[in-house]
Amino acid sequence: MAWTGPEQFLPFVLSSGGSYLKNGKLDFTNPTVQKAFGDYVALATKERVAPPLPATPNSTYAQEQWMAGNAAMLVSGPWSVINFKANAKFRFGIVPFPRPADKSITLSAGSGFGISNTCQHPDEAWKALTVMTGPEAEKFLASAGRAFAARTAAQQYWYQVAGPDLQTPLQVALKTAVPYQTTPQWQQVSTVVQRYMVAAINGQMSPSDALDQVQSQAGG
Amino acid sequence: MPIGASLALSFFAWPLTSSPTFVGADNYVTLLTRDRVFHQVLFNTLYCVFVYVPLNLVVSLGLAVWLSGRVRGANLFRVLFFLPVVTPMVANALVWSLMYQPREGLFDWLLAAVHLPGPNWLGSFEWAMPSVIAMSVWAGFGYNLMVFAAGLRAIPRDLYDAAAVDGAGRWQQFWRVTLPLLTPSLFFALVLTLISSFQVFTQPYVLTGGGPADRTTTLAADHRELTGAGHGAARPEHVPWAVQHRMELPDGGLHDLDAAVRGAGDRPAALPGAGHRADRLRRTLT
Repeated sequence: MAWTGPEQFLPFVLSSGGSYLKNGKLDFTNPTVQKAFGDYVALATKERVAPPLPATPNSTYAQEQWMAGNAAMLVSGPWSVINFKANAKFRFGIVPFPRPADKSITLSAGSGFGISNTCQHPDEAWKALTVMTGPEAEKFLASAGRAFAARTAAQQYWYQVAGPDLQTPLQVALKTAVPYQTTPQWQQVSTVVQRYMVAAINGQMSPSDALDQVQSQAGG
Repeated sequence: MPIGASLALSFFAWPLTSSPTFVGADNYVTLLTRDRVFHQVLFNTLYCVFVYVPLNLVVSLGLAVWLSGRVRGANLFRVLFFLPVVTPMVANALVWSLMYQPREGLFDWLLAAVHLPGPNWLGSFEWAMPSVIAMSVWAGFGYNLMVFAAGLRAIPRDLYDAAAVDGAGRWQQFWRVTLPLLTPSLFFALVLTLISSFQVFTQPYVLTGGGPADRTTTLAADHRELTGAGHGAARPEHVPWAVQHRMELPDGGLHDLDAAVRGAGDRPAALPGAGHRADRLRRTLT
């Protein structure tokens, strides 16, 4: 719980059978979201598994705390493994997201590409994108251990560099992972969540009030 | 031009990824009647102004008066106190964010040494803004200290001698001689500090990101976010617009102020180039 972005608790929402979007719009006032977020916050406020947090704009705060040995677990993704392997002064492994209910559902996300509707060279842009996301490019990136490839044929190259022991947990997680759907104001959602989740985790604001604030400020 | 353009934009909704739509005064209505965060932001800014400005002036004046006496290594102290002013504010804030860290930060470490628990400096509602202000005072008082030091040097010694002959103690000398003759410098420092305090941005942006729960978001930071993060776009940047442009005296205005200050006292306040230094101060503080 050392970082407070929406990705930290949204898997709990999904695993509890809830949804944080409704008709493509943010739905943080949904009771399933509120319940899952409340349970997540209670890990700190009731179970005391995490100490009070400072407010910080530092999006790598969680990683820094984990790398420093101040946190036992970290929610992250395969894109971080190469850095962890290079810098962590301890052995680590990865597991699928802890499940609060019957199944563990996590988010699958990566780099997104788009062509603006005002682009003057859409055909050339499309051609560039097909190269950037093509099999050769994915093989190149996976072989560097940087990007976990979306194309299954290229994933083996990533495992070879990152470590074969990571294959099983990732494959398990991928079976139930769902695409990380967002809204056009998602950057704002992340910013506001980060500000208000700290207040909830520190016990200075109720989880439902925190989510209500996110909804009103970034609900679109 | 930019001021006029931003005023015109305030009547449009303009998400960054689409075209602007004229919405009349809706942005202002939303901002003043429905946007609870804006009210919090306004409170934060005024909180910052009303605590930071007097604190800055008291600290800088107190140290300037202290250094104007016979203090060994006074020049070294002046340099040390001025160093934060010429250090980039982002660097200052980053270092302070480390010092404010729970358990491992300098402040918690010092308190732990005397068996006292430290508060959640940057994470609690009660301490986040005072922590931001404390850092801002540290980073900004050096400039006013120099202003006051120049003003103090311009006060003739014989006035103190005369006051002493009349039986005035040090405290009375300060109130009856130093402070009245320092008024032009005080006025100048007050105006510049007031302007910069309304524009505080870097400190909360780096230290807290505006959290927890918008308790440290200031007008300048909110302004940035609303325009920069595609947040419904030109929506409520407009009272900040009004406040900021009212507070931002152009360079010429500051020179006029400087001239007024010079004419206000019996002797020059030794403050040439006010506009240039004001810009530098703005850059430092924001």
